[in-house]
Amino acid sequence: MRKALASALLGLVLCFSGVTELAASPTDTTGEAAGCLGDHWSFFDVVAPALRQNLCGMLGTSFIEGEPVTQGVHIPMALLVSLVCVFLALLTRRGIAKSKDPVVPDSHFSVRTFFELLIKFILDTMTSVMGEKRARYHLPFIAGLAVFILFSNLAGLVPGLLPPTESLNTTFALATLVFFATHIAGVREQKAGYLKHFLGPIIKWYALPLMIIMFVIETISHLVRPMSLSLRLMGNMVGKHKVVTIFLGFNILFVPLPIMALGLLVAAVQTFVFCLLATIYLALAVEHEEDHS
Amino acid sequence: MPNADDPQGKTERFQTMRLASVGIEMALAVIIGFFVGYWLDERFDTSPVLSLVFLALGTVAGMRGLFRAARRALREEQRRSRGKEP
Repeated sequence: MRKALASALLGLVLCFSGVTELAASPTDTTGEAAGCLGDHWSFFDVVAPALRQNLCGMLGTSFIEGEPVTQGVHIPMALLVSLVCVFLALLTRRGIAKSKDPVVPDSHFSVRTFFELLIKFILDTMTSVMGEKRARYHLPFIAGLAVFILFSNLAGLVPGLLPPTESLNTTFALATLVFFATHIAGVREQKAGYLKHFLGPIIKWYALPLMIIMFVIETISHLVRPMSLSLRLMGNMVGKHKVVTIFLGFNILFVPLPIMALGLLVAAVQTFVFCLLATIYLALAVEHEEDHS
Repeated sequence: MPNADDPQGKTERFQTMRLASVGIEMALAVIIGFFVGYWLDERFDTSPVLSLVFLALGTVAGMRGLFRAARRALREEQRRSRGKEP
């Protein structure tokens, strides 16, 4: 099972890199609008100086206002993070395949034990929200999200790397995935009965006007979810990055260290919140209407 | 006190995080409602009727989200306190 998990993780992370890349371009406008990425040098400016211009040229104009895209570093960053995730997943997989008894964990701390601990924690959390069976079914998706977001957030603490989650484009791509996943899961679980979620408490012909109003209200509240997920993650990462920048600006050795330690905490907590909320949305979508009215 | 086989403290923490998202969701519901109305207004040239209608609907959606989260938290709280005293 662990093996299957590792390969599922790998596939998902690969998917994510593609999706992130595809969805990354639209909302990106000017530096002020996107806010944050690329306002200082990054690793890619050293390795491939013309990369940003080329990327922006490839992306063309953004969907909003039709302005040319000027920021694009989150795309190679997301790809880099995905590659790191894939590499670690492969290492984990090899570790499991090589061990004599895969049930026995390693005696020392390794990549494998790290992933085992992480995935066990995610599975436990999901089980307490949606029950064992559904948790196992949805685990690859949520665990893939968790690993990608965690490593993206942590990338922000490495000098020269920018966290891809610092751009609204990446976080909104991830949140859109969650949005579609919840609705697909809901329809799969309940077929047409899923529509009842949107129609309010009274489902009778004489309550038709109420049902229409409830449908609009429910649609709005469902649209809010990806927005709040993506805005929260992006806002926290930008905030952390800005504070670290300010403390670095003091030019005193070791002064930014406490803030960077806080940054570790922010990275972990934001990953947890994103995944917990995604799990809750999934759980709300798959449970039947009478359970949560 | 939270311990390994009793995830009581854990669920409480989850509940807190879930409730922490209520504020941002409420605000965004109003904003999204307004912008949907604004967009429809531009399409059908009915400014400002639909903006106002959807602003109201968005506000209702925000309130409903808050109400639902509060009710959920309350029910969970009751379930917890019932579990404590046998």
